[in-house]
Amino acid sequence: METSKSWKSPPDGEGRYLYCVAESRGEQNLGDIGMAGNGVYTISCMGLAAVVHDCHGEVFEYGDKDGMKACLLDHQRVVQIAAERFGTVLPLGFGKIITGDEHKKPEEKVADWLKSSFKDLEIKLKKVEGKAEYGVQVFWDVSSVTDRIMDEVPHIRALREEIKTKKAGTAFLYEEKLKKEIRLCLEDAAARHYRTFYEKIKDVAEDVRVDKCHRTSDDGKMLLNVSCLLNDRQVESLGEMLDDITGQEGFSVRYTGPWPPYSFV
Amino acid sequence: MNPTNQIQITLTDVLDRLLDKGLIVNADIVISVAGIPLVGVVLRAAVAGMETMLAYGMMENWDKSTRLLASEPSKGKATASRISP
Repeated sequence: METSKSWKSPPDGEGRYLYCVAESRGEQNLGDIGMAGNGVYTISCMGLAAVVHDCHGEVFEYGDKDGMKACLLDHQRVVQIAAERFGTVLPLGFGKIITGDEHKKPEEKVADWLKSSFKDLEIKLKKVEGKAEYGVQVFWDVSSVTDRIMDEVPHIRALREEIKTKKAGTAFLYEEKLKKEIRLCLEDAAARHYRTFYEKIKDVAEDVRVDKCHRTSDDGKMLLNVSCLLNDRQVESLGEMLDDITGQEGFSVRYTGPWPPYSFV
Repeated sequence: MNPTNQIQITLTDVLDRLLDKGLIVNADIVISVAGIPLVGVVLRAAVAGMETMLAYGMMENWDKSTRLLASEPSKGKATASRISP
């Protein structure tokens, strides 16, 4: 837990909720587009602008689950709108608030942060300029792959034939062995496919981050989950490459984006 | 294949990015009231009840080793180890 030791509750309890950072000069008003209808505007320093709304320290008061979900989607929407307006943005994760203290107002602290991080922010802006983040998730239908293994892998086929000649008790042991062999084949196949897909994606993309796989119900088992930094040309190339994957029996792909570059800042 | 646009993106897609990623602000100026990480955890737990997509864990070990390899640029290529089904 990163609880700040130095922070004391400022007299007015005020803070600035941060959405993203962009290149822009002067304070700009983006309207009441923030979470819970808050007014969103920019605080700028040295040509960089933080996109913020005013809050009272505690932003996570939107009660129930639906309220919190709405906040998350609002955060994403504001970053998206800011990106349309300012071009390249560096998005922040959810729930980042800069507060004032007895010496400085929150907006001064935000400006100080922009100033002290100027070089780092400029480098990051340069890196993601003209590019966007895209999500790629590859799923495979384990049962159809298993069927194929049963039919195509020689030693598994032989084992299945052999089981037919055994009496029930022995057959039981053989079946257990068969299950284990199939599992090993599946694991090998997963590792092999993962490596192939990952390498192909890496060749096309500017940069790749590997994300955690989720357990899924509808689309089969998730085999690979990555975020890619792509320029416009690469979006098309990656799409074509993913078509090749979906063309293979038992595989499906989710390709999402463009996202603000959350994974590359 | 064209990327899915904003309308078809799920809450899970948003959670993946908003809770774990984004620009880092040094901890001493950002408040973390009950701890931003804590908010993340509580939120995940709350939403998980409804969003089955959030049930992690199936390929956890495999995933970890792969992530480790991918984060080591010196090794360059990720070699996935065996998954536990």
